[in-house]
Amino acid sequence: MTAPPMAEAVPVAAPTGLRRTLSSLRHDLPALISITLLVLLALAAILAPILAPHPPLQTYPEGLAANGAPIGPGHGFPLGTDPNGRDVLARLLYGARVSLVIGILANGLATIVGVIVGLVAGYLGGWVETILMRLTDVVMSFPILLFCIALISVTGPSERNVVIVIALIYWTTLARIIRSQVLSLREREFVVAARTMGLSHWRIMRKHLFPHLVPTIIVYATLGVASSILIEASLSFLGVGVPVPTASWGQMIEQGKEYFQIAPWLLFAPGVCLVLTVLAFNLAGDWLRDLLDPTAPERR
Amino acid sequence: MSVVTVQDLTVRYPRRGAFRKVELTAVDAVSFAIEAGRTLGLAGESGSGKSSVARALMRVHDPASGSVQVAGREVTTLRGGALRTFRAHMQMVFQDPYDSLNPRLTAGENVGEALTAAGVPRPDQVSRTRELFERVGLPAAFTGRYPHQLSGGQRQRVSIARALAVGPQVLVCDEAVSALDVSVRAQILNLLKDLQEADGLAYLFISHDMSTLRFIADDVAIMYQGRIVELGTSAEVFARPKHPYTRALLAAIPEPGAGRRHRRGVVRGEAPPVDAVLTGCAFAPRCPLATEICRVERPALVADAAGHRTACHHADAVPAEATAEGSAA
Repeated sequence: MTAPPMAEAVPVAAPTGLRRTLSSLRHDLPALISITLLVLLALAAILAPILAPHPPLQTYPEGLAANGAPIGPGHGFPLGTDPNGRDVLARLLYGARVSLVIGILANGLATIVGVIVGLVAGYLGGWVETILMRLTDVVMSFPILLFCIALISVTGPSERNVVIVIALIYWTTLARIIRSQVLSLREREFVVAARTMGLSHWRIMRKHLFPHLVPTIIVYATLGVASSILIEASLSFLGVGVPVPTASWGQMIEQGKEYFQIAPWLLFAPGVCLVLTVLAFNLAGDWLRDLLDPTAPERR
Repeated sequence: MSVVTVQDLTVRYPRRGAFRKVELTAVDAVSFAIEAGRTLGLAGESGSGKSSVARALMRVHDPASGSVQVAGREVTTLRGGALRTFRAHMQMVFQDPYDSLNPRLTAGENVGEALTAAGVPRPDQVSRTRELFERVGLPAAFTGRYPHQLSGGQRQRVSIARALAVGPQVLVCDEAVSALDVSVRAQILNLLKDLQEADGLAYLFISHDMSTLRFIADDVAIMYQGRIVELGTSAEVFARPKHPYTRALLAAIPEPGAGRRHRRGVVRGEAPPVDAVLTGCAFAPRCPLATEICRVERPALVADAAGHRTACHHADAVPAEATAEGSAA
């Protein structure tokens, strides 16, 4: 937001004050738990170099049993080791970084694209809308994983490509939601007024439409992070995601799956983290939706 | 000299039929003119096309055909940047004071948006906004308030200030006081009158409320089913209504005191659906005076010696008093 032209503008209780946010958290146990989880997760990812007992890529001969099998939790490796003798906890912490960064970046990109497409299509209408929304339909009609695998097999697996590919398919839902909101917003009298006073399209979209879309955007961006993390995990699990030896949760599951009978911690550690993270993002998204838009009906 | 001249304005809305596109004619060949410093009142029931006229004039919805000239320039053919620039000549005050201001901007910022549109540089906007607030009778301190902190009347004043910000010659007021309390309504109407006197603004004042129009309008046009059925000076139309529909509207004004007996029941039933295909006079099915010709031939808008126009086959045939009792006919 640009600085208001009125110098003495008194600050007023915004629709979502900090106090209301906190009190709403206090009355909503799932939200409180999910926000706590997300904070812990972020801390774990950020502090990975400090928290991790070992470097994530280091292989330890003493981390393998005499027969070459990974060893379980304990013995200097809190969550055990993987078949290469690497510390699972360290990989988990560093994997959180990869998963979170990819999830947030990919979904951030998708959100930007979705908002622009939806806003422009809904506001301008006409042939612009037809082209943009048909494009949205086309992208939506692709099977997500198949589309990602096809794209990555062309571009080659790398963290950057995973982000781009996820963003390329994930903007569509938000584009549709934003467009439908804009369609109803543009008939509101203050938007019609903005048009009749001769403001530019750009300014109308920026100052008279966008601020009213922010609650929706925040909610769907939050929910979308969970989906993006899941896709990243799926892609890594399928071997077209984050390339080895970098740790990501999906890839840890992929590598651990062959050993799950003798070393179940290889699956459980990243699996539990994945489930909790996705759950936390979803619950936080639900909570934000209720917080920012108390009158809106339930919708997904 | 007319600031606004509307010729044969027709507005259609597309409706999606099951298999083909159906169009709904909301405004059908409407013509009128407004002179500088004068107010044309546009009356009619819901769905009569009043707001569609306003929206077409403001180029919110493009008219299907017809011509709209404002300050000597054809508005209907303007596009893009030329249209944006031209919008400064014509502004609108909306009906709903709770929806017409952007709730995320302060009152002052709302007015500032119009100043931005008018090309007023940012440093000058604060002082200009204060001036405008003063003109519409609001304290300058209100510039920092958000719309939800203002009353309906105050919001409508902000709307008027915003409309005036670009220096228009024509103000379209679409039910601008309908949502207000009666006492506040009078204040806003007086404000509009004062502004008109000071600036020589031309008003197109749309209202379904005849007593409001009697107060503010110099000329009155009555719309029914997308057409103007009666058009004349306010004095003429209120004193000598010729169209049976106008008479019915006037009879519906509540009169305080027992001085005049209230006559009702002149118009029966409801307006036909807007998409009904009618031959003849659109009012015929509800009209107490309707005869065979009304159902066959559509009456033209014909002026009498005083310039009072009426679209009714029986406009001159029946005096006002007889019509009022004519529900038995």
